[in-house]
Amino acid sequence: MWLASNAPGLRHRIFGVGTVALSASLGARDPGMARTVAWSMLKGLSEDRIAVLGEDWAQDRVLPSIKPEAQRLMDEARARGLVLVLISESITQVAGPAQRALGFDHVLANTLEWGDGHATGQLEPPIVGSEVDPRRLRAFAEREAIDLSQSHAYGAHRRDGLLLSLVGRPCAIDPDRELDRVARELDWPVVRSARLERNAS
Amino acid sequence: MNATRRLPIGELAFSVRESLRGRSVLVTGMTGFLAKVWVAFLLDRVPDIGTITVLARGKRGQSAGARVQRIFERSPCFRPLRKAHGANLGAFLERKIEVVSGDVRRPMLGIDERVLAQLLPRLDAVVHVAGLTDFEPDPRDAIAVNVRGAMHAADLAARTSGKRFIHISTCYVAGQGSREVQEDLHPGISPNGTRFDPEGELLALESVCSAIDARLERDDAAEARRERVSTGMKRAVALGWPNLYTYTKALAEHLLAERDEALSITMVRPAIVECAREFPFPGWNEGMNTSGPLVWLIGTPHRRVPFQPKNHFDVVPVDTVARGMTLALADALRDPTAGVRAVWQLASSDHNPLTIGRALDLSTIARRRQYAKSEDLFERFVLAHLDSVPMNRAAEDDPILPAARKATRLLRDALVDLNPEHYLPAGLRERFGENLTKKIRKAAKTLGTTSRTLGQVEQMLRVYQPFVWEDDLIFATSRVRAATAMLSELERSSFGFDAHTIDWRSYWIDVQMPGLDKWSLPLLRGERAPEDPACPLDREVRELVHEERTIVERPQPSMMLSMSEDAE
Repeated sequence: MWLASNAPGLRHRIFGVGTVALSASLGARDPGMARTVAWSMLKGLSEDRIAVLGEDWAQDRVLPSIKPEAQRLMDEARARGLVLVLISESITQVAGPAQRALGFDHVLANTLEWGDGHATGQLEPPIVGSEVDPRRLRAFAEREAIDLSQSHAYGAHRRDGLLLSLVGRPCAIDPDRELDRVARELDWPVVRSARLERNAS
Repeated sequence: MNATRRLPIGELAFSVRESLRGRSVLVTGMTGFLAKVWVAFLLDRVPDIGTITVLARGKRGQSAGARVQRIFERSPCFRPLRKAHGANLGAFLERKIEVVSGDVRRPMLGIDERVLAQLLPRLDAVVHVAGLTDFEPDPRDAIAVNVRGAMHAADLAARTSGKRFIHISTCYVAGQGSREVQEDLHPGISPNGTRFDPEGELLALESVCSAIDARLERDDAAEARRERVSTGMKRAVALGWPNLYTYTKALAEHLLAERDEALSITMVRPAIVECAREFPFPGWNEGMNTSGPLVWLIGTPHRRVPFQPKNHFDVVPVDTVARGMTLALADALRDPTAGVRAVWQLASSDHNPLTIGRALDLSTIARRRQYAKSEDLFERFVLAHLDSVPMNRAAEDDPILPAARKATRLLRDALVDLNPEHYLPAGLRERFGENLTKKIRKAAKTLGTTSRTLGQVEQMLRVYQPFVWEDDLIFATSRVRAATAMLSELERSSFGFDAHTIDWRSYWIDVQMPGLDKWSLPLLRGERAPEDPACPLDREVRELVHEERTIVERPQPSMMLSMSEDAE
């Protein structure tokens, strides 16, 4: 929505915002179609514009929302010499700045297709969906010599359950109700932020 | 003229520092943007250069020496030198700089012959940077500075021991059209292929200007000027140049190319010279260059701009130009061949192009980011979302802008004549009359300002139309890149032409836009650009005068300097 509302020209913005709204309504029924519709609103935006907007979004919205507990976990992992991988359904122009700011070694995110310096509205394969692709993750791990059975993974939403099931050391952080239930069933560790703990008690 | 000397292929690396060690050069145009940066660059990177003789003109009771002294003490351009030398800067400048009083509009640059007798035997090169950069100047001034001035400087260079002349021109002598422009010159052939005689052109134009003056100057000097400019413009366009600036700079080149003597002449043609990338510091700029008015336009109510998005916008940072100029000088000095003619183009379009559409988009994005963080609610919620977008027609075909200007002016005129107190009943007149009158006056004033702004926009778009709509030129830069390749790795980092390394996004958003905002756009609002607090030197800059000894000139009380390229 942020990217759509900052397109050049009023007509482009109205169209973009409408497209995002449409994709939201499709989200539950057909996530793949919803994703295609949503990113199509970037069609015609320049590489420069998306890069700058993505950076602004990462700096102004994403990074300030990182919880202290999450930051602590990342710092501990880095101190232990672990390879840090950020997996995001967003585009590299948003995930990339977050990766650099947080010191991740790798990022798996979506790549926009370009034509003459402007987005075509399509994503380049392989596409990162709301749930991670197990084959893609295993291929990445093999390429980077990462042992998934010894790896940690963190998630908060129902859709992160698949990723957590692929590693030896999963952890749910402030999980939503469905992920919380799965975590309890499978005996995964759950970390809750202090604020949520106080609210619950 | 084809370049009669090619850079030898396979030759061992050449050294800029070695070529310039102990050499003496005369530089004109010191009060202008480019010459200041270049002199600062030479002093910073080639401290073993011999002497840099700076031509300057006394002005408003201030001697030439005092004016140059003030530049070293106050101009932000010399911050790196102040930082490097601290309290010893005065001693360093005393060894490296001397000032001569003169005027490019006069023969031998107006330098006293007795001073010339001291100076000429020890000069290795003359670097002529002075020029009038207005697009539509009075032709009399443009001829005096851009054409005759160049000839006077070349005449002086021919009498020096080194007989080397570096003439700073512009890529846009190429004139109108859409093509690749090579590093050559065909004397007597205009951009549209017309055969012409450069000296005949000058005499004809001067004659027409004199006739206009005889008819009008006494009664209506402003109308005389308008007619001179209009006549000059028509002649320029008839031969294929878009304006008087490019026309007169080109005439100078054609005349230089026709000189028949042992003087070696290097024409250096920068493209659009803009904010520094790193030297003297990121963003440094002076005066209103090309991008400033275009960026200003984006901040006006006019959002649809007549730009051809795919046309090249050949921007080159001023310190990149300084590198290219240094290479050209070093190359000229190391070649003992007499009578060489060479053309160097300092541009980006042939190897790292920026388009006008991209420059517009980056300017808009930068402004959006600025407004989005503003405390002003109007800027944050309205202006942040009003982007400038290219429109698909030329400025002259746009009916909206002239109509908007006329409408605002008519409305303003109507409001000025309106006195609400005449129309209000007595009871309402007492309660509301004065307040309403004030509001109407305020609205009229705002409309007047808007109308004038739209008029400025119209004029600006007309002047810039060749560059943003009509013409698409790509400038070859083979010579400067070949010279760069011949440098050692160490010297390449200091002197190599580095336009290929420019990341346009970060340059435009993080360097160019903030630089224009700080150093150039205030001038469009009638404000002064900031100066540094005075850092007085512990000794005065030497001025070479006609006596046998040099004298020390005491600085006069501070006065404002014009920051535009001037006749020096």
